[in-house]
Parts: sequence; C-alpha cells; structure tokens
Amino acid sequence: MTGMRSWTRVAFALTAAAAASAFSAPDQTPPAVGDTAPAFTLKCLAGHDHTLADFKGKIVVLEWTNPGCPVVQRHYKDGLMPAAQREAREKGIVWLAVNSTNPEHSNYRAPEDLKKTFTEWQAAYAAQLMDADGTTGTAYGAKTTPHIFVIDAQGKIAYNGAIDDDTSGRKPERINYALAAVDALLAGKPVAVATTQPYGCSVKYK
Amino acid sequence: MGPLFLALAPSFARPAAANGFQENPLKRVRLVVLEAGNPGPAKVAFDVELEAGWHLYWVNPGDAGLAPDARWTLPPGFAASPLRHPVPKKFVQSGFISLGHESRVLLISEINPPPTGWPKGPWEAGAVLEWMACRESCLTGESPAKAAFPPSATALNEGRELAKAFSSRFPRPFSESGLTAGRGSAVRSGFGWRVEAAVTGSFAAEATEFFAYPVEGFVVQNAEVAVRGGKIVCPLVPSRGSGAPPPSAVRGVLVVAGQGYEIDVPVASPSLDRKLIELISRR
Repeated sequence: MTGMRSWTRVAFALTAAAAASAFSAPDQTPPAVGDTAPAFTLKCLAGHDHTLADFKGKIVVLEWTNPGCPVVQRHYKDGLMPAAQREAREKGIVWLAVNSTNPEHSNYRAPEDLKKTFTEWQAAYAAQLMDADGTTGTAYGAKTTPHIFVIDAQGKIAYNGAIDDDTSGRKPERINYALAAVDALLAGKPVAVATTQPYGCSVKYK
Repeated sequence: MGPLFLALAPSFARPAAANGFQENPLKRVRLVVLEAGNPGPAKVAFDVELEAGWHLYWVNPGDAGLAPDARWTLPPGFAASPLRHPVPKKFVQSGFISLGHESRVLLISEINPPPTGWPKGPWEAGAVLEWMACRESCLTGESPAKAAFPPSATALNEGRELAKAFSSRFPRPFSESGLTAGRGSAVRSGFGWRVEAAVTGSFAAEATEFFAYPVEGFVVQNAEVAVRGGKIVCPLVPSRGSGAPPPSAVRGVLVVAGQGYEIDVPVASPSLDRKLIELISRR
C-alpha cells in the first residue's frame, strides 16, 4: 500500500513536472543549455555574411559586445578579453563578437568606427558581427555586454552566462567560464558550470 | 580624445570615461554616521544622490547591471559588513528586468570593532564606493568618502534624522509583516526549478512583489519572479546543469502594502527526486 501511494505521488509529481515544462513554452523563451543554438546570418564589419552553419563541427564562442559599455571597456583595456580570444583561437575555437546595439542608441557605432576601436584594443576574435535589429540577440536571449554563449561542435549551447566570476575586476584569481567551457568540450567532458548570471550593461536593443 | 574624468564638488564621484565628455550620474556621495557605536558596532551609510533618470543597482541587479560595492579603509581589526540596500525598484527595458535605486539612496554598513575595542582617540572611516549607474547608457565609477569618529553631535543628529527619514525604505524582519510563509517547494520547470512558497495571513492579498537575493549556484530568472495567487514564485536555473538539486533556501524581500520584509524561505527537497534516487539506488 505504501509502495502504491509512493508511485501515485511519483506519477502526480511527474504530471506536475510535465505541466510545468509545458507552461514555459520553449518557442517563447530563449534556448537553454543543451538546446540547439539559433541559426543566424549576420554581416561582419567588412560587410561579409557569416552564418552559424559556416562553422559546423567547430566549437563557437559568441560574445555580445558594445564598446560604449564600461564593463566591456574594462575587459578589453585590461587585456582579459583579447587574451581569452587568443587562447581560444590557438585551440581552434571560432570566437565571434556580436553587436546588437540599435542604430538609434547613443552607443551605436558604425562598422568602420568599431573596427578602429577593437583594433586599438587588440581584439583577437574571428569577426565582429552586426545585429543592429537585435534579432539574433533576442533569439539567444543575450542580456548584457559582455554575455557569452559557447556552442559545442554539435551546434548545441554548452554555456550561457558571464565571461568570468570577477564582477569587480579586482580578483587576483578569476575563473574564465568561457574558456573553462571550451576546455571541457575539447576534453570531451561535461561543462561543469554551464549557466551563470551575466553581468554588464544591458544590450541596447530597440 | 583621452579619458575625461569629471568631478563635481562636493561629489567625489569619478565615472569611467568612454569617449569624450560625459556627465556624472552621481550628484553627491557622502559617508554619514547613523549610529556612533562604541562599545558596539557603529552604523554608517553612503548617502548617494543621483541625477534624474539614472539608477544604481540592488544587491541582485536583475538581468543586467552590477551592484555597488565598497572598499574600506578602517583602523586595524575593524570590519565593515556588506552594504544593506533599501527595497529596490523594478526597471523594465526590452523585456529585461533591472532592480535598483534612483533619486537618493542610503547604503548602510555596520562597522564592527575588534575584540580589543575602539581606539581611544579620533579616527576616520574611509571608503570608496564602486558603482555602476545606468540610464539609456551606463557608466561605472568610484566615489571616495569618509566619516570622522567619534562624530560630532551635529553630525550624529543629522545621521539619526536621515536614518529616520529613510527607515521605511528598508526591509523589516518578516516576523513584523503579520504574515506567515509556508516551507517552499521546488518543482522542476524547464531547465531548472521553480520555487514556490505560500504566504498566508490577513494582508496576504497585499503582498505584491518579491525581490530575490542572489542564490549561490543558481541564476534567478528575474523576469518570472512574482507573487501570484498568494504564492512567492521564484524560478532558478542551476549553474551546474539541470540535474542539480534545488537550493536549500531562497531569501529575498517581500513587499506587502508598500513595505518590504526580509524573508528566508527554506526549500523542501522535492519528493519526486527522492523517489527517483531511491529507485535508482535499489537497482
């Protein structure tokens, strides 16, 4: 009888859990870790189209950026972001910066201007992609600059969150979550910390 | 153009410059003694005045932003507590939630003396407030401030008046709310957990908002945090994968009839998981 009651409770809980899952309709919410990364076609600063499918079979890092954001500025001026980009590149990772700042916002910068700034900052990403209408940012649920998504070789989101655990920029030792995720994927291991709270400025969507 | 740091007297706020001229979102920052302490802890507050339209962030900044932090310079052995915030305001932009403060805000800290006690002579508590302020765009900066100990009678009187004037903005203990909160339950939801806790009592219908403190090891889904049908609802995504168990507790501020109350909701282990674990362990 006790077993029966237990199974009844399990069945009820399963039903409740299924109902809860159905309640958060996946087509209304951005993808979570383990979901397929949304496809995109975006122009880089040179005006060439780049699609996620171009990098099929590779690990891809997407970094939402906005040079008008002081948190982004710190990460570049301290050399942390370029160092992470270089390390990822040396490991065969495709690192793409994505800029979803809308053209009416005071932080919007034209591609030529962005190229100049990020060159001065010694950015080492493969490309910076313009997402001025915010479609790709919205599809991913990018909230902040910076906000990092790591996509595995199968095209699934493996990490979603902050670049690191150092919100103040004063930690002597910091964990770079993006690189930790990349290293885990390269080693064929599960990503230990797969979701964190991103920090920085809000993405300047329309 | 090189960085331009703008300092407005009497404010010491220094925003991090991006490009060219920019305004200073913090009109004034000062350190005020609210309670003199001695022999017990003293209470001080950053009294921050913001320019119109700008906001600072709460301890959980929401979907974006950064909570302010303080670096202290105190006599040896003294320690300052983390900043205590008033109840935040919710800002919604492009569907994302930010939690913060505008206009004028007090950020309170307790200064705890060492076991050896207070210094005999006068001394100074120094602090640098590190902040991020946003309006349409964001700026970060540092604002140094200091307070003299022992405070003068005038300074202490001003501090007491300030504390009195702002006291209703700070959360009170939940026990003063006249409400009762049930133990929280955790239900699997999407890629994480939805913690729910029933709130009962005569004024339960007047509970309108819940602001969750950061939960270690989880990302609070701020846009979905709510008080619905007499229940606090707080969805969380575990940092270490969807298989991670729910937190043992969720803490936050429940707003009832406009007053904030600090609430600590212990979360019961979900029976479903216990049963599944039992089942797996039997095999």
